[in-house]
Amino acid sequence: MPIGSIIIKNNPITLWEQFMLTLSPEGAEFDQYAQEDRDGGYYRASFNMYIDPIASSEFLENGLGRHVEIYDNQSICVFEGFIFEIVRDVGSTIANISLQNMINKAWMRSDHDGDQIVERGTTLHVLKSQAKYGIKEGVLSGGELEGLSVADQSAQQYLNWRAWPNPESEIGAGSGIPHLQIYCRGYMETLAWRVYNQTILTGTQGANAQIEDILDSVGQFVNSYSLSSNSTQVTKEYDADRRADDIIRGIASLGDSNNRRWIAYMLNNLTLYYAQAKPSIPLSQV
Amino acid sequence: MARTYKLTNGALSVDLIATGSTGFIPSKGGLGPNRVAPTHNFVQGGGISGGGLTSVHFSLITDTWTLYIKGSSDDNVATQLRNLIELLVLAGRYHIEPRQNKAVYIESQTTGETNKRYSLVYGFPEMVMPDQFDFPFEGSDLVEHLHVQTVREPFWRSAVPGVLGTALTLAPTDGPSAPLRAHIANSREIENIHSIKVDDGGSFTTIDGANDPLFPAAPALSDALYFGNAVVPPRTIVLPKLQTAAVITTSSLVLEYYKTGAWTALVLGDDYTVYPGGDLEISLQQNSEDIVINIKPPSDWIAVAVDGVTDFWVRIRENNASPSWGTIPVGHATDVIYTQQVPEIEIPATTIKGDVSPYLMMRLMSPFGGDADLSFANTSRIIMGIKSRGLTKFVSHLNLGGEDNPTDWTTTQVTDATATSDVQAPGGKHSAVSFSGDSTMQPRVRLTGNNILDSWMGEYRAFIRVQQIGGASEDCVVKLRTFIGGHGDDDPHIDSADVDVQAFDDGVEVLDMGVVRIPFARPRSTDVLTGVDVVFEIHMERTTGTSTMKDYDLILIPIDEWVVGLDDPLSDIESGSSALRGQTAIDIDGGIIASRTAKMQKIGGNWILSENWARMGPAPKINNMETKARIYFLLLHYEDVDASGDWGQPPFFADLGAQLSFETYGQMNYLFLRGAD
Repeated sequence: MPIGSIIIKNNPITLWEQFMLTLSPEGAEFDQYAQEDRDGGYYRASFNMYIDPIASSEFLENGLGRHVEIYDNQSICVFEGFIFEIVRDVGSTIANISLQNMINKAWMRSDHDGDQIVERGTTLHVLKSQAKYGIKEGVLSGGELEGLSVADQSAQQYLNWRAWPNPESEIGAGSGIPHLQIYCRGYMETLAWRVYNQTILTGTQGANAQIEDILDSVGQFVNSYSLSSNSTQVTKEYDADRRADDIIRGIASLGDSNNRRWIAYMLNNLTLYYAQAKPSIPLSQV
Repeated sequence: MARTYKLTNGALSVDLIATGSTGFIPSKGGLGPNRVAPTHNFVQGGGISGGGLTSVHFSLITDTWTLYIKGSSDDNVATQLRNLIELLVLAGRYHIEPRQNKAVYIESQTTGETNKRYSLVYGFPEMVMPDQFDFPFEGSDLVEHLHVQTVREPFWRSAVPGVLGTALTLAPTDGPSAPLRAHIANSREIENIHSIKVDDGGSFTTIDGANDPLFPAAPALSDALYFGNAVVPPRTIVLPKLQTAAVITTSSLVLEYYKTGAWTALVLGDDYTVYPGGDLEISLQQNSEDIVINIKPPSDWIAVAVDGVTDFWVRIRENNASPSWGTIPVGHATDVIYTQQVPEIEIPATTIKGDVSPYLMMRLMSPFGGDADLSFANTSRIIMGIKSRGLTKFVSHLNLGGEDNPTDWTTTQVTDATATSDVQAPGGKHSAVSFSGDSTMQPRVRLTGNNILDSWMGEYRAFIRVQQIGGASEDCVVKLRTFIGGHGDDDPHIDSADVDVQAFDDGVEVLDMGVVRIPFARPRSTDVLTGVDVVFEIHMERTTGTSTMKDYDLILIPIDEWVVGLDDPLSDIESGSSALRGQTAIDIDGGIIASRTAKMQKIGGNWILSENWARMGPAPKINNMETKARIYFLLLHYEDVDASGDWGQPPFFADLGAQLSFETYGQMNYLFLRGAD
């Protein structure tokens, strides 16, 4: 189904700006659209965008994190996500900026008191970056260090370098046609930005209840969720600085007591679904 | 007709068929051929057919001109060339630079062609000038065979690009014939205004509004203009353009309805809106536009006898002890006052011409009353879809209380459901679901369309309007089941996803039930669709608590010809400043001025570009030339569901009483010739 429009607007969670742009195929404002879904949810999308040079500069500076909705010719939303990477081709030179290496919250794991046990250092923040992009956590490994302050200073300098996306450019690599290449990711990606640790509650609980706890704690870009009931027991305790998406996918991979596969995915309105994968009966071999 | 081929931006012009001693003239065949090659996207496949077609679209085309330049001197030729180059450069800059806002276009008309046509130019990829030191230029200031490649849009338009022109003539839905502007209700009912009376100190005159004074000759305190409906309170009252506008020096007009024991004022913005003016006095003191009064009916509205007529009455009453009116308003010379009863507009077959879909610009204008408070008086989403087949029987809204549905449709209240009188429901009744017998997922209301399949063939986005009474969010779940033929469990049917009801006691909530395809597989012309029923069942479940449900209507917006959603960007979630309310409009433009979706503000009598709205879907298009088409609407707004006062909190609501006024502009498109079209 052809694409009817692409809407780019301010991120509905961070709300650090006001922005609205509708790209139309009639105005030749985008092309080369591609999309990939995973586990029934939005995973990746990309397109080339053609706007005037001034708007293009602004986009390179402020476009990361902006919310993207893509509609087909029947006004059905076929992708929802955010801008993860922008490549600006001015004809002769390209400039690239990405959220890939950005970290705005970090701590060091090291043995900083000589007791042969790895502890966490101070959790450090760059609040302005978090306000613009959301929280993206980094966990550093420091081995053996001489005190907490050493662990913290190491983490701080790492954070200072990584808190803001750094553009890179390549002279002479342009295609000759000024445009922006926009790479989007589904919001499920943002669960890989956050670590989930919880040691206050102990024991086990049902899979959907545990996922709900994780989302309530670190699901900053999950506006709502629809979690089907799955009584498979999983631990409540997490203390290994695992990523939230890794934990959720791990829980989903356990399936259910009827040996059915379960999946977790995100679709429209920043809603996360945890449900049995379809079809529920195995396809017979022909 | 003088044959014309001119490059111009309205200020500068270069005539390419100059008949004087100097100027441009094409060589024989030098302005053609014109090649249009729409891109057909094929997929290769196996089997007998070998593949298929997935899409067709038109791209920019390249014309090659071969021109002579007749000059009086070499310098004169240089000047002429400069003018041509200047326009071609401006053509490209218009599309790239935001401040270049004059379109460059070709104006063309053949010798025997009745009407002119126009095509937007994008630039020139190549220009080839012959040797300037060769004859004939060397000796006689004549350039032979100047080759110019130009890129333009693939169509010839019926009007100048970038100029809006006059609104297209629509067909009447409920109002007078041949309107340029029509009004859109937010429900479907069949009752028109029953009675209109002018109260002059207790002495009543019955009028219909046409050529009638709308107030007594000397208005005094409590004189009033009454509008009455017999079955349901009036929702959207339209006073066609006044013949004579009022002149009012001192007045305090109030809009009142009747509840037990008392006439009670309705509050502008909370209970009603008015178009086009800021209030009733302002609206009556103009006669350039229709006046539209839209009422969100209070639940305690009752019928009462006025001058011997028992109706649901609303009145505009003078509440000033010493009013001073210079001129009494007089209704339209021939058109009566009416209520807009349907959420649709109709474009007649004769309006849409050309070879392919025209460029269309649709303007939706908001009434007054909205402000920073969340209410039906502010519109934040508009959904609209076009349908051009099955129009004799198709309706977009089917009332679940069973009232005012077409005779082809039977409404059956099923498990724990009762059709219940409700002045706030379309047709005056909703389906009340008590869950008293069974709270599991059961069919609650059944709509059976008798032999309706051929009229209802198509693809739709389905919505159900409901209100949960009591309980908490997500206590109730709704599902839509669509049958073809019978409604037994083993008859072919498709279920929508389960949709949670989000709000409770907050008004008319809209549930998005997703896409419905009727029939479930794509039919072809030889497939028999006659004599087959279509059945819709609304299924509901109460998962917890003791809430009940009011179910209002099932809405099917066509999506297979053209559909779009227009969305408020929520620029300020505290004030809702970007919502559509008084003196604002949404322009959804497919390319008359530019491809854009913009909120407009009326300032000083002019529509001023304000801010972008989001467009969820393609630009407006009508694919079937010279075929009647209807556009069906659903108007949505936010409510203060969490008492935070913040805009943008789901779900959406769509109250009766919401209204927009509509006009559309068009530039017809031709691939080669326009002729007399």
